[in-house]
Amino acid sequence: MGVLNNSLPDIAPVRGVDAAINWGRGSSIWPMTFGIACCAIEMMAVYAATFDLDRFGAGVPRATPRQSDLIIVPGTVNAKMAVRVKRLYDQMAEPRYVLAMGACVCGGGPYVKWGYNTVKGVHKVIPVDIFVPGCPPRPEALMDGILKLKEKISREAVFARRERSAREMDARYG
Amino acid sequence: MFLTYHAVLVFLITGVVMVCTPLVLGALFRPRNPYPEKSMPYECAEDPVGDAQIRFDMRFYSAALIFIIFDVEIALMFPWARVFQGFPDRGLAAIEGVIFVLILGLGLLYVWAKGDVTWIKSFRSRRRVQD
Repeated sequence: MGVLNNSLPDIAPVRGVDAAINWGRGSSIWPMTFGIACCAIEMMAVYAATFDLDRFGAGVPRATPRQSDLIIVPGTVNAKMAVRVKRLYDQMAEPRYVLAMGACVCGGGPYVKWGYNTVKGVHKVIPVDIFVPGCPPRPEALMDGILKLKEKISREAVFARRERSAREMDARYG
Repeated sequence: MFLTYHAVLVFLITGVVMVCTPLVLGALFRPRNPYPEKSMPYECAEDPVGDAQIRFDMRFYSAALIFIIFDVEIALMFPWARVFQGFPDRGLAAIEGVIFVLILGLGLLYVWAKGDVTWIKSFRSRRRVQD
């Protein structure tokens, strides 16, 4: 990671800078233009005027993973798509976050028993930060997921040194 | 003598500092974690095929140049048409507009005669170019 990332002592001024940076990151999440299946319709509704995700600073999807912080995985990930999802996640710049949207992405959904080609949850391919269940989730649920992600970002340590548990490291970089 | 140009020196130093400071700060602050999959060209998650430096058909170039004719024409005809109503000497404006279109039309006639308007150049026009 960067030179200063997680390398300064965990004291109040450093934590203050971290809080400021996290406030900026959480208030300007750029999602990636990415839709796989029916959940993408709900996702587009959230971007559009009625629900207006831009109120939370996350309403303008970027056309390339290089510019985006968040990949919302909306819809059934099949075995062929899983490779692409992994590649797209790889090509995003850090810090990057994953929001799994819908029952299929959270764990297989209706295809969990007989779906021969469905990946039973996108967490088998990429590390997921927020799970939003539902088939499909209501737009409000996705907005809640974005707000949960904002909370999660606000708890992160940017410059401050922080002991990470082995389990957390596995979840993020494993 | 030296002090005469001290403003230039200050300007130069300020310029260098203004450019270098964000670069240094960015190198200190930004997360840096390159690996092969991340550094790959972005091709919508597909493996990139071939080289980006390919040979491009020259006929697209001439087609783009022909487009410039219409582009310039539209770009100047719109304001011309907008102010035409209240222009004092409308006759002169009309004549100038017609001359402008004629000059651009002459360019179009030229490429037409050279055979660049057709995608596959006709044998007759190619022979004329060779002559």
